[in-house]
Amino acid sequence: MKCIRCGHDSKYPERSNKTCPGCKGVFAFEPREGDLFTDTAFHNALLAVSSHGAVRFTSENLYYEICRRKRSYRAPIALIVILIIVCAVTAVLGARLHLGWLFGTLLAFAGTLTAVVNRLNPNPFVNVTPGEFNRLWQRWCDVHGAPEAFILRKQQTKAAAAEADIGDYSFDRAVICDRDSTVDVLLANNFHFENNCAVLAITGYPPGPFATVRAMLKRNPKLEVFALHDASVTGCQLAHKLGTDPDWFANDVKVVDVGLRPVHAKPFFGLYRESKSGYVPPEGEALTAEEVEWLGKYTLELAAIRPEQVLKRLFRAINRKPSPGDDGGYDDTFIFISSGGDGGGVTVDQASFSSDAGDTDGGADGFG
Amino acid sequence: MVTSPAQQPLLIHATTGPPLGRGSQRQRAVGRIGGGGGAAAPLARALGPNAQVLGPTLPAVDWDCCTVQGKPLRSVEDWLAILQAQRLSEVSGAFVLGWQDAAGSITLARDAIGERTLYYAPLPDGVLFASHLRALLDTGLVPRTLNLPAVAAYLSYAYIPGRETLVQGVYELLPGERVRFLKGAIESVPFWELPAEPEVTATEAELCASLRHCLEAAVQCRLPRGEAVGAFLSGGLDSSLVVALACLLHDAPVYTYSVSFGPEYANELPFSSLLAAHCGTIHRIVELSPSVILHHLDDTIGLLSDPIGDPLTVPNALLFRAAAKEVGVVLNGEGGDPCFGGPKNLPMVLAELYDSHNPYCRERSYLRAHLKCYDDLPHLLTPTVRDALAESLLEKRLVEYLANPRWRQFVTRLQALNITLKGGHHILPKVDATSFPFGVLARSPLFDRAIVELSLAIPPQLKLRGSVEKYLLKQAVADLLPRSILDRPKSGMLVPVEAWFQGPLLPNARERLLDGLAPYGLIERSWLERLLAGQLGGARPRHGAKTWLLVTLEAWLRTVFRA
Repeated sequence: MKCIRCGHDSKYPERSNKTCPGCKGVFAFEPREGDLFTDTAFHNALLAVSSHGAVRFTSENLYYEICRRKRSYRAPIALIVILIIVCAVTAVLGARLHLGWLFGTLLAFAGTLTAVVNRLNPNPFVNVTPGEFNRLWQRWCDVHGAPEAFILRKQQTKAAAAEADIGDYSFDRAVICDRDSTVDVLLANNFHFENNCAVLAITGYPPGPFATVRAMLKRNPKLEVFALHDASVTGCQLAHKLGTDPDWFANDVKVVDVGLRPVHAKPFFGLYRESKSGYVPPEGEALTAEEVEWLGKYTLELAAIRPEQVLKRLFRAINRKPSPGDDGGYDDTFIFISSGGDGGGVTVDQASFSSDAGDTDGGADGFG
Repeated sequence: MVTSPAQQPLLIHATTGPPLGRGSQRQRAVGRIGGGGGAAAPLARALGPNAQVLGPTLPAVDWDCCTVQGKPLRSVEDWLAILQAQRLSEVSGAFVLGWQDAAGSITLARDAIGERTLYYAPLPDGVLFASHLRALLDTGLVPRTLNLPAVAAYLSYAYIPGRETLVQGVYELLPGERVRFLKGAIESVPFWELPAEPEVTATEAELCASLRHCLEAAVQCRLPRGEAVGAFLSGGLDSSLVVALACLLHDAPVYTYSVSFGPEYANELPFSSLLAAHCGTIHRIVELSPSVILHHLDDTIGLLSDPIGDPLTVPNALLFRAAAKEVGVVLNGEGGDPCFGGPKNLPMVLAELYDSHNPYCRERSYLRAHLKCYDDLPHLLTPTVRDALAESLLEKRLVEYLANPRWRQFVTRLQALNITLKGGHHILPKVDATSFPFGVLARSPLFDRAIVELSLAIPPQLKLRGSVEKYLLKQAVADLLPRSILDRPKSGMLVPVEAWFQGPLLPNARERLLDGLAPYGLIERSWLERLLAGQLGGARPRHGAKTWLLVTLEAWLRTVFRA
């Protein structure tokens, strides 16, 4: 097992008391003693979720990264077992078989078995319990410390005396989220700052600037609002709530839903949670019939998507404009859910979290 | 007002040519200045045509469009009278000067806003000064030692704010500063300051009328009577209103010049062409290919006293080259953003709302707002530079500006900061440096002293009205511009550096950065390799803009520092 500090690869008997024989550093995990991961595997998960330290992430993001990696462990183990059995059978049969044909057969057989194993036992839900994850994470932090990119939500202190003129201005765009942790990801990665865009949660988070920022937003009749949310009962109703609730924007502005909806869920099979809500509203202005059925069983959290992808896709979504046709309609990217008043309305951006979203940095040519 | 018959814009495909300025038909009547150190001969050689080296009697003055109470200054003798009467604070217009008084002390001064600039190196018995930093280095009297903390400043701002330069022992005059050198003693006194917020504010209508009057006066005094004038036209509000006012007030044709990087890149040409047709200008579109940009990159950076990592440096120089064939004076729209509520104010308001609790958080936000390498510094600087950088040095230097009690309101403080630093050490030095080799006088009406003073008397709520930027400026010129220009979405002048450095300019960039820059030991080679491979990571890594920033640094080190 490789040590992430010095790179020394040790065997189990050499590691006494979870210590690396090379550098004497302590290991957080020991798979031989029941831990789900090695230190290297967990470290790789941290690198992946943080894009090698360039993007800040929450514990929820890390949880889904761990789930993602545990899911993929099943296939190689099945492969190894099958290969061993086939090699043994081949040896018994003798050396009549040509080697090239033998390897080709082995690979095809192993691949087929893997697909069959997964298909016979499809599990849409996460396979690491929150308790298991918390134990892993706590142990990791105790031994290696939390990485700099980890977002630690600070205790909200009383805001410093605000500048006299701060509340006098407004913004052209706002992203409203269903969860505080999504706001944390956007703010920690300076999304608001780089995109000149207010960020709030429907819950009233962050408490310090919430009231001031919402009042500033309501001052702008040309405001563009983007709803970013989980594929959950509450999340999928977020855009509708923002577009109709008088405490928010009540038919005064256009709201674009750029969040996760059941239609986006398929690529994330295996990372679902069970639907928490005991009540799912009927099909109507906020939810289609298909969505009602899916949401009755499942929830897919936005945190399941790596934060770099969320930021890039959100950037593209808020900079994408619907292209009005001759009849005033919208292109296939948007679903028009409900009509609002003179200035309002809710549209859904289907493409934001579709699996074909590219991996560009959203474009950033140099300004003079 | 003169309108030209409607005509199609002329598309000029810029070609490579001799080093910038060589063979230029024009020269400025008033050249660069220098003096001190007993280095008259090398200074005169280095400073270009019509250079003035300071003598014992008359001041050496590089000036343009200067007035005192409306009366133009026409000769060096006029300047001597001003200095002797101690009326420097009354001068409006672009100038730098050096003067040796009867006591033998040398006084250097720079205009209030910074349209001209001057560099100096204190000596044991006096001072060496010149309009261009390279002229100081060419005398051999200044050791060529890099100022390492300034490297971090450059990488964060894309220019070097304040008095420091990239060369140890060489300083830049601040706008509105007068510095006196006598027997080793240095006395610095500002002769002009940005005005504080007024106690009583005029009404919106009064301010709008005053602004319109000031705008017309600022443009009028910069128009060359009886001869054609040029203007850079991006299609944005600022350059459009300058062009519109020029067409309204001028008694000769107006030529306008816009940049294109090729039809495959997003551009503002529809807006600039619309405005040109609306005003009836003789319009030119100068198309710049990556190969032409690359060919003249070293030339352009060699014109700059300190590196400026703004991707518009080379396009600006090539635009001046094109304009110089037709006009001797070129107006521009610079100044509109810092004075009237341009971009970067609202992000700072957002930062103030969301995070005002941590030490230096607003200073960090300001540095981050430049969208350069500030957040990369811990990974990209070598230990040599990091060790030379005192903790939080960049942030600490901003505190006095962001907490300045002269302006009660946050956005007004931001504007004062941007006028002082960005105007005085980036925009205006760039405009002057890139126009000088072609003998062209570049004039920035929106940085007129009266405009700047008035802009600080306008409440920020009339500049940023809700989310509408430059509100009062738009009101003041609403009758002159088409609605599509007034109402157009905000944008900046985009230079396609991302595409260039993923494509045609990548091999050259690799050579410049890995073979040219890495050996200086300032930037970690591994970070440069990740940059060139497009592997910095993060949601918006801006590889192209950062590559341009570093390519500029390498070119400056080679053409100015080591030349």
